[in-house]
Amino acid sequence: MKKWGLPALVGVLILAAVGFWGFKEYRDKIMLETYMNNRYQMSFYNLISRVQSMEVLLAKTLAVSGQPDDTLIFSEIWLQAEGARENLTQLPLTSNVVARTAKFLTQAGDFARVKARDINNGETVSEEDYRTLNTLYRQAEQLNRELHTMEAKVADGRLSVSELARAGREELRKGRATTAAADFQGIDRDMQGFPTLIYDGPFSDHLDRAQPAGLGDQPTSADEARNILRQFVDIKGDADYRAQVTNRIREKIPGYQVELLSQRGGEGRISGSVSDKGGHVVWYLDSRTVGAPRLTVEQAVARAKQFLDSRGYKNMANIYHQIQNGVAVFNFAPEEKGVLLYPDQVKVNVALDNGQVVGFDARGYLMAHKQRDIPTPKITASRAREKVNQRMQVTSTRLVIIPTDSGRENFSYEITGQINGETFLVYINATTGKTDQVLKLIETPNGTLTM
Amino acid sequence: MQWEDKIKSRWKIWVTIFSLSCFVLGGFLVYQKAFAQDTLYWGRSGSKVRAVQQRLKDWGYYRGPVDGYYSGQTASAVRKFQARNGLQVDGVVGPKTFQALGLYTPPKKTTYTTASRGFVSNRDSVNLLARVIMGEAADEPYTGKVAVGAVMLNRMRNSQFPNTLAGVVYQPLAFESVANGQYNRPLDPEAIRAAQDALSGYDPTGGALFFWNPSKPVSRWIWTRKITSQIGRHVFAH
Repeated sequence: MKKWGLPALVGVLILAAVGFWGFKEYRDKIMLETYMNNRYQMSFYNLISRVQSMEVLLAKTLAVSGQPDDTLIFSEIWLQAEGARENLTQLPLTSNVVARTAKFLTQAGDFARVKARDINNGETVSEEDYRTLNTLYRQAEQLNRELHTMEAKVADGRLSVSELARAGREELRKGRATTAAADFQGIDRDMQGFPTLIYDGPFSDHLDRAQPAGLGDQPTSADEARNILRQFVDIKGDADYRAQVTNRIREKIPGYQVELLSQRGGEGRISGSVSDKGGHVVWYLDSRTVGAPRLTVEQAVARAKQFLDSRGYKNMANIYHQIQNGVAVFNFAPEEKGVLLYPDQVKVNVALDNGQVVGFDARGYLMAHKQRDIPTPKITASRAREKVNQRMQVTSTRLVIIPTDSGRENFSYEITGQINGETFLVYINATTGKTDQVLKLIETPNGTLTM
Repeated sequence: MQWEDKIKSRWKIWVTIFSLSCFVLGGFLVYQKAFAQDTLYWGRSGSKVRAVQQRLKDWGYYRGPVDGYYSGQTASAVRKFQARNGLQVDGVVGPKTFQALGLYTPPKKTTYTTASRGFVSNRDSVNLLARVIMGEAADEPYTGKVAVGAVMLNRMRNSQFPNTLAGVVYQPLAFESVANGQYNRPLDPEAIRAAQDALSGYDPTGGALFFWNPSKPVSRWIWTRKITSQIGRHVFAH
């Protein structure tokens, strides 16, 4: 009896200690879980109140006549819609369950934003706009009703957000669909009835259908694609690469995925893609590590220009650059009859250790480049300069074509000037005289960017 | 009687085993907490141990082999060194001993480049993107890393996803490596470069919104998406 009295006592003590520790861990876990669920609940309730605000605001737009002071209502729809999208995407639901609902919120908000802008520009709200607003209102009303039905279930305890989170994790791990998110799925299905929305903004459905303009129609075979990339890439010294088509690519610019593997002298591999139509190199990247910089930015620009020139990209002007990890990234745009074409951009990465072009991207150029009729400006350069802030010291003015966020193009004056030692680019429409855009030039030791 | 004795002794054995394992477990937990930092002690091995041994050998405290194994000989050399340099004599190489040995590398200070006026930096985006690339595509070829970064940015510009990079990265149930914390691994230079290339506009996927590894279990609905390309082990889709 006495022999094992002491060990037993020690054992019991340890057992108590471990038990206490386990209890503490358990309590912490419950606390964290409650905290997480509260965050999810907050997102859910915020979502409801924002969708409700949207419904009411959209109803109001049907009552107003579209005067400048009504822009506030439209701006507030945008604010509520963006907030609602944020809340929705923070719920523990997989993206397929919320996709259409999120899209509805985004488009409704974006449409309202564009209308606010149009009204400000003196445009009237058309009959068609009222029809669209009415559709958006009905859709928001339906969403609001369904969310309130769901809220009742949550309040009754028939639906729990933590259950959703657990089921979602399960689904991710096992790849099996669960029925926990059925309520949300139902809402998303109802959103399917929402018609495609075409308007002058970045989330308009017409942008999904945009096709590349600058490809040509000559079809390319896999064998040709392989050789096109091998001849196109910039190779230093006597490096020898074997080219091989690894895959077909089915995107907006369909084509071939090509890999160049070094045979001798070269390090790493070069991957890129060549378009099916026209046989253009869409992009390529060399994965080699870049050593200590030896070239200046000026030398690198000259290298990039020479590269573009020899690959058939003529009259390209360097618009901005950035240096990161020993690689200078230059953006170029073509100049035509003295007008800079911003939509047709190409990117060139120059390694600053030996001047090799380690990256090239012509996606923007191939999507946008076409034969353009460059119009004559309706307003003069001096008239345009009067439109900018009078405190700005204008340093230069030139004609440019800039892309809009809805996929169209504006013909504008680019007026560069300084206020308080900071540089700004103001774009004044050469046809209407309205301010299209204002960009701030960001100059750092590592490059120049616009934002 | 004999049976009873046997049961008693069995009991004793069990209690002993149990208390021993509790001790080991508890000790291990304490040990882990105390030495979670980069501290070298008896039994450790690796390149840092080798560096310490080399330094101690150069300075005449240590006569054993520079083999990267923290032996008793190493520990006594460390003790000698600590005694000579007014450090706490414990035979453990902590931050202070590291510093005294001249092997302490201060955490890298990040310098931000600022414009003459205003402060704009994309370092936050580069870091966040690089971490997800580390978590999701650490073993993928370089293009596959850029592609994963591009998917994040494509989502950000899409109406069906959050409209900020952090929103996309931290969307619940979106990325496994974010959910299980694996994306917090230290970054390697290639991931950072891939993040920068993706941010400057390179998109090997041509606008893909999804990617997955076909050899792992995934939701069935994901196969309904339109596949655009395959890079490394990942399939990319709209």
